[in-house]
Amino acid sequence: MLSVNVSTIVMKFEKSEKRIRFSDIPELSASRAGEIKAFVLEKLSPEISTAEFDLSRTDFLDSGGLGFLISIHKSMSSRRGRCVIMSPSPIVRQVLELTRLHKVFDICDETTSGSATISRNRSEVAP
Amino acid sequence: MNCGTSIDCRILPDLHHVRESAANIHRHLIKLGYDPHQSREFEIILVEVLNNLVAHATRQKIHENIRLVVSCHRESVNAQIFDHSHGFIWNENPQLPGDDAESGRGLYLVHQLADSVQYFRNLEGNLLWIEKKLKPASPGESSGTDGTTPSATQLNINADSMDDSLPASGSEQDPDMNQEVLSALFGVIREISESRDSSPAVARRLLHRLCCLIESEWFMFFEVLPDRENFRLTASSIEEDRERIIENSFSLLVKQMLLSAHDHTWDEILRGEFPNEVFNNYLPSPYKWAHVCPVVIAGELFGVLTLGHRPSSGSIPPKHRRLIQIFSEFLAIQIQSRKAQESQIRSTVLKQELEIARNIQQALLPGKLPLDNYFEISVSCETAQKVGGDFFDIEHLSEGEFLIYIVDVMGKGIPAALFATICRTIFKYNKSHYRSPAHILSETNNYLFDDLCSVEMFITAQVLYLNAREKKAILANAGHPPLIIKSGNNPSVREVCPEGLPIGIYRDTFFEEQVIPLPANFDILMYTDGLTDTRDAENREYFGINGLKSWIGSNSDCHKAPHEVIRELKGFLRKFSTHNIQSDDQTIIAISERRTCPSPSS
Repeated sequence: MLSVNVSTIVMKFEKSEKRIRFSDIPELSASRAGEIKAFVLEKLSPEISTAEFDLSRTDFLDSGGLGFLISIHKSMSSRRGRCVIMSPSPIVRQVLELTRLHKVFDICDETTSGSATISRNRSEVAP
Repeated sequence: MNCGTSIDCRILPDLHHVRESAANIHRHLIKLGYDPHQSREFEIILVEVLNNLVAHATRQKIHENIRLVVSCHRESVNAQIFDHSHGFIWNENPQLPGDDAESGRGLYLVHQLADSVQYFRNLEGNLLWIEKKLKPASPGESSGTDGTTPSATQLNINADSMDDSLPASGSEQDPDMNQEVLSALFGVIREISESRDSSPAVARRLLHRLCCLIESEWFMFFEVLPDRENFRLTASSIEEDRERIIENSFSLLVKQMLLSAHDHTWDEILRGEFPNEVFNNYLPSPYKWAHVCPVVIAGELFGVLTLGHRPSSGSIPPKHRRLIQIFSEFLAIQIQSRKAQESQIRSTVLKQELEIARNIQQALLPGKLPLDNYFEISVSCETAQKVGGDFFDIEHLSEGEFLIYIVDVMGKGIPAALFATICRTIFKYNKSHYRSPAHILSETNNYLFDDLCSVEMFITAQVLYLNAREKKAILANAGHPPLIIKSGNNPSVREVCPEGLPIGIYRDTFFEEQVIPLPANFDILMYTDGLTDTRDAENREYFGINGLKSWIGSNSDCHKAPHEVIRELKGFLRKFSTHNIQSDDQTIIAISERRTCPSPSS
């Protein structure tokens, strides 16, 4: 896992064959969205089919941050890939639900045992 | 929990600074003992609103700091954000954009997360007031458990100034007083926006609230009338008989002041320091001790507010004067806004009524022109406004026999349309006298003379009887422009205008009848003066009767069907009067001897 400074934000990313996971993102805000987006897009090489955002430690999400997530979601969809939000923190989940975007994103809740539940549109469940 | 704290800060107009300032406020709220999650929601609200202001700041004020005042109360926190954008229409019910939109969710989030949001526009700028209920942090969740609680030195809001130690009461900057004022104002705004009260009712509501706030006992609000020389009592809290006394006293005092200050205008006197002590001598018991405040909006005196106060309290304290000013300005804006709304509603209703009137008038005009083996007739009738004073009717009496009226009621719009409709009924009633157009005009004059005289209006009309077998027409005229006739074999164009004054000028007036032999291949044109009064592009020259005759003469080489004559004539007039809007109703009736077999499509 690599730890990278995006301007003043420190975030991590971990890449396996077709999957990349970004984690330790302290905030997704309008003021940081531009830098984070540039960083993430740079890492989304063509072979990547799943982009995961571990938002368990993200304690701030505003409409600018939502715009960033949607742009990545669109980018992944255009290459037939997926954008998954992992273990969103309570405030992130609340903002996603308030704006009804929890129906748009794949949201995966990892349990302590390591199993994961991906929900989308509240109906689709995958191991 | 440390309630009553107020943070007054200036935030740099930059997204990073906004974010940092909001984060600092969030930390401060946790330190004060508020629930961390709700404090975070409040932080999101602040960021969304402030980002919006940064994005929409006017070019001149793009570098100006944004003032944010956060007031903390036992169960709520509110933010007052002083907006230096142009101001906007606050959407009370923002909708979410499409799922793939990357923006447009900010204000929706604000509405979802805040308990109350009010946007207040006044002359001194715009103010966004947000309230969020915040509960205390649960045990174990208080300051420090968030992991972000700063030390005292870290609590440095990213702003030019910050003061969280304002006194609880006393000065004009008193946060509790500001809070009270704003709560009162927004309470009234909410009530006003939910009600359909008229402007006096709005004024009463607002001034009652002001009186409670400054402990005033009564109020009277006088509004300046459009003549700018008189007042009207718009709202008052006292009995009607006492109202009159105070109103008269006030008018008397203002008149006396005017007499004694020759070089001052009425407006200048009222804007100056009003002699309250003198005025108090005029007041009936128990309405002593009035304070008169001018209400000036956009540099113009809008009204005068009179507030009564207890003698024991002396004069109105300065901090209350400021409140009175704020409420007065707000009141004036509300009254103006209500009036604009009322006027808009009236205008909408009037438009609908005019549309109905137009439909009725159109329905009264002949829908489909009769087909006849001897004559071809075509008509164009255009009104300058929704409804007009021109009308025509074509009675097909028998094959080759017509009675045609063309009428122009003086003026335009609804009054003209009303008389046009009455006139049409009278003509219809007299159509049995078709062989005598003069008789029809005479009867119409008899019926309408008194009514037209009482409103100082008149009507011009022309009635034409056409008979193909007898190859003649009979024409009578009531002050109407001449009928134009042209023989197909003769290029000369002739005016026919039998003697007759307009209807409504004299009670027993004479209408001449003129018999016109119908030559072979004739063309006849009947019209209202809207045609000949058309002005040229420079607005200097009328088309005139000579212009019309000249146009018909120059188009005499070929025998055109009446609808072609009208189309070409109107095309010519459009070019003649380029850029000029049609200012009068315009009706044209073209009649010719039939040269082709009649077909339903014609």
